[in-house]
Amino acid sequence: MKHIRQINSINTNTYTIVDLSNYEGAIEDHPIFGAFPNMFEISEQSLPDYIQYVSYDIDELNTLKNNNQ
Amino acid sequence: MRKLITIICILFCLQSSAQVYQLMPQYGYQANRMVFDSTLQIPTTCGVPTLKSVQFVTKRAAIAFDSCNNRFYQYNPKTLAWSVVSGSGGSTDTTSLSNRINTKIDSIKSRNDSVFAYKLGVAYFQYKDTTIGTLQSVTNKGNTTTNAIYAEAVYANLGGGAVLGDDGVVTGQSYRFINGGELSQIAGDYDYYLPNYSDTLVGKDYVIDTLKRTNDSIFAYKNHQWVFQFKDSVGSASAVANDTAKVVVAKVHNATGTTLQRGEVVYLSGANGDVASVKRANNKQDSTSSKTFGIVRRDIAAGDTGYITTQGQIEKLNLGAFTAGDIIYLDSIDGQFTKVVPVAPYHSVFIGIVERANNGNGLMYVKPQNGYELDELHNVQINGKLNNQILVYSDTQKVWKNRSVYSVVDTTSLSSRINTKLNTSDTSVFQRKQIAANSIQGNNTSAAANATNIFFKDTSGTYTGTITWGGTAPTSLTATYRWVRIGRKVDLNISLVYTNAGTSNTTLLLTMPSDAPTPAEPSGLTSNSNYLYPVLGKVNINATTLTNAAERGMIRKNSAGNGYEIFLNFSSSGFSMAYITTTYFTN
Repeated sequence: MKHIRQINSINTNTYTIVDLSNYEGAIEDHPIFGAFPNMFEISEQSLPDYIQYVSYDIDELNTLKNNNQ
Repeated sequence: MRKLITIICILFCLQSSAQVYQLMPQYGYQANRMVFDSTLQIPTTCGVPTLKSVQFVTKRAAIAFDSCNNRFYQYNPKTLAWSVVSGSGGSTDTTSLSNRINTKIDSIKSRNDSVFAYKLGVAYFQYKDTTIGTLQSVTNKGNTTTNAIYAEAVYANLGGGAVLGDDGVVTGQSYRFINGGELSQIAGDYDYYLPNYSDTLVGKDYVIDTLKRTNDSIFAYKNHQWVFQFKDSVGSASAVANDTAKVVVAKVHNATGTTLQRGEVVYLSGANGDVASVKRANNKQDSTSSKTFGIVRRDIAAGDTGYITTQGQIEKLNLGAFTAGDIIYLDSIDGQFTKVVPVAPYHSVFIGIVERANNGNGLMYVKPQNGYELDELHNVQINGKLNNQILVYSDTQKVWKNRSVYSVVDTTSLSSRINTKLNTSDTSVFQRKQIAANSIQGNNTSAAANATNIFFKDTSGTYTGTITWGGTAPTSLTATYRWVRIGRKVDLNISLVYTNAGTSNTTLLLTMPSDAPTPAEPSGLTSNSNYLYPVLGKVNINATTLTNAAERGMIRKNSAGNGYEIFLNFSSSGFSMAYITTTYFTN
C-alpha cells in the first residue's frame, strides 16, 4: 500500500507513517513534504505489524511549508 | 530303809546282852550283844562323826547322830565316807537337788551339731542334732512344743562365733530359739522379732554382735553401730505392733548376672528361692520402672540374696554430686538415680530425698513412688488407643475413655451453628474455599450485609496501542502500561520512552490499551469525540528534563464512535518522553 513514511523510523519498532485519512489530494503533493523537508518519503512497501502515525493540522503544515520556502 | 531296819535289829540283839554303861574309851566299845528297850539309844556327836577304829573304818558300816546340827549320818565302808541321811521316810529331796544342779550349771554353749551344758568347765548335758548338723532335731526337752528348747535364761555369745537358730525370739523374761518355727507363740508381755536368718548362718554378714533391750525397743548392735531397732510404738505391756520402724528392708534375690552394688536402684522382676527377685531399674520403659522397689543396702553377688531398703534411711552412699534436700528420681541409666526431673517419654519415679550430701557417707531417705501411666489410673479406661485420639469422660460409666474426635463432636449441632451463620443460600456470595476470578469481597451497602463480589484486577504489560503524534514522531519506543480496577474505578498509567525525539510535536493521540476496561460515558457525553475523563499527561524532551509544555489531555470517544482514546496537546517541541495517568470509571 502506497504510503508516506517517516524516514528515520525505518527499521525501528516505531515505523511511522502519515495519517492520510482526512487527506484527499495526490499523495505526492502532501504538504508534509514542504513542512518537514527530507523527513518523509513515499513508500509502496508493505506495512509492518506495528506502525506509529503522525497526524497534522493542514493549516499548521501549510504555515510551516510557507515558512520553509 | 533296809539298812536302817537291819541296824535297829542288830541293836536290839545287842541290848539283850548289854554290859554296864561306862565312858567310851579312846578305841570305843564293842559289844557282842546289844540290849534295847522300846527305843534304840546310840551315841551322839557334834558335827560329822569320826570313826575310832581303823579296822572298823574299812570293814563295817556305821551310823551316828549329829545332835548339834540335827543330822543323821551313815558311814559307807566301800567309799569310806560319811553321808547325811535326809528326807522323810527315805525319799529324795528333788527340790534341793534341782537347786543344786541349776546352781552349778555355768553356761550353755553351741558347738558343731550340739548344745552343751557346762559346769565348772565340764560339759554335763549335750543336745545333739543327729540329722543335718543343726538344732532342729532336738525335740521336746521338757516342753510340749516340738523342736524347741526352753530355758530360764540362755546366753549366746554371737561375737565369738556361736550362732542362734534360724529364728529367734526374745521375750521380757526368757529367750526362745526355734528352728524353723513361727515366732507368734511368745510368752510374756513383750514380743520382739529378730531378723529371719533362714540362710547360712556361718557368714559374718548374719552375725549380730549384741542385742540390747530398752523399755520398748530391742536394738541389734553390729560392727560398732546399732543396725536395727524394733520398737514397740506404745510402750505398754499390751502393745505388740512394731509400726514405728525407721527402716523397712526386704530380702531379695539378685536376678542379674553381676553384683548389685550398694546404692543401686532395683525393681521387682520375679521370684527365686521363696524371695522376690530384683534387677537394676531405669526410667526408659514401664517394665523397668513401674515396679521400682528400693535401694541396695549392701553389695549382693549375682544369684545371691541380700537386702533392699524399701523405705527409710540408707547411708554410706556416694552423694557428693547432690545437695541436701535434692529430690531424687530414677535415672535412665540402669540402677542409677538423678535429681533432674524426668520428662516424658521417660518415666518419672520418685526415689527419695538427699538428707546428707557426701561421697561415701551420703544419707538418703528412700520412699519409692512409682508414677502411673495414664491408662493405669483407676478411673481411666483405655481400649485400642489410636493416633489423634482424645480423652473424654463418660458420666454413665464414671471413667475417662479414649475416643476419636469425630465421635465426640456433635457434628449435627456444629453444622447447625455454621448454617446459622452462613446459610447454604449464602454460597453464591461467599465461597468457602474460593472466590470469583478478579474479585474481592466487600460490603458496598450502607448497612450490615453479606459480602458481595467486587471486581478487582491489576494488570500490566507492553503498550501496543496506536500512537499518533503531531509533527514528526519520535522513534525507537519502549512503551509500558498498567491499570488497576477496583469495582468500577480504573486507574491507568502509560509510559512512552523513545530513543530519538520527534520534532514540532504538538499533539499525542493514544488508543486505550486493548484490555483496559471500557470507559463509562457520563450522562450527556455519549456522542463521538466527546471528552469523558481528564488525563494527567506530561511530555518531556528527554528523561532528565522537565519540559514546560502546557499539556492538556482527556479521554474521549473517538470520532468513529467505535472506541476510546487519550488525547494530549502541548506546546510545540521535539519530545521523546510521554507520561499519561488517568482515572476513569467503567460500567
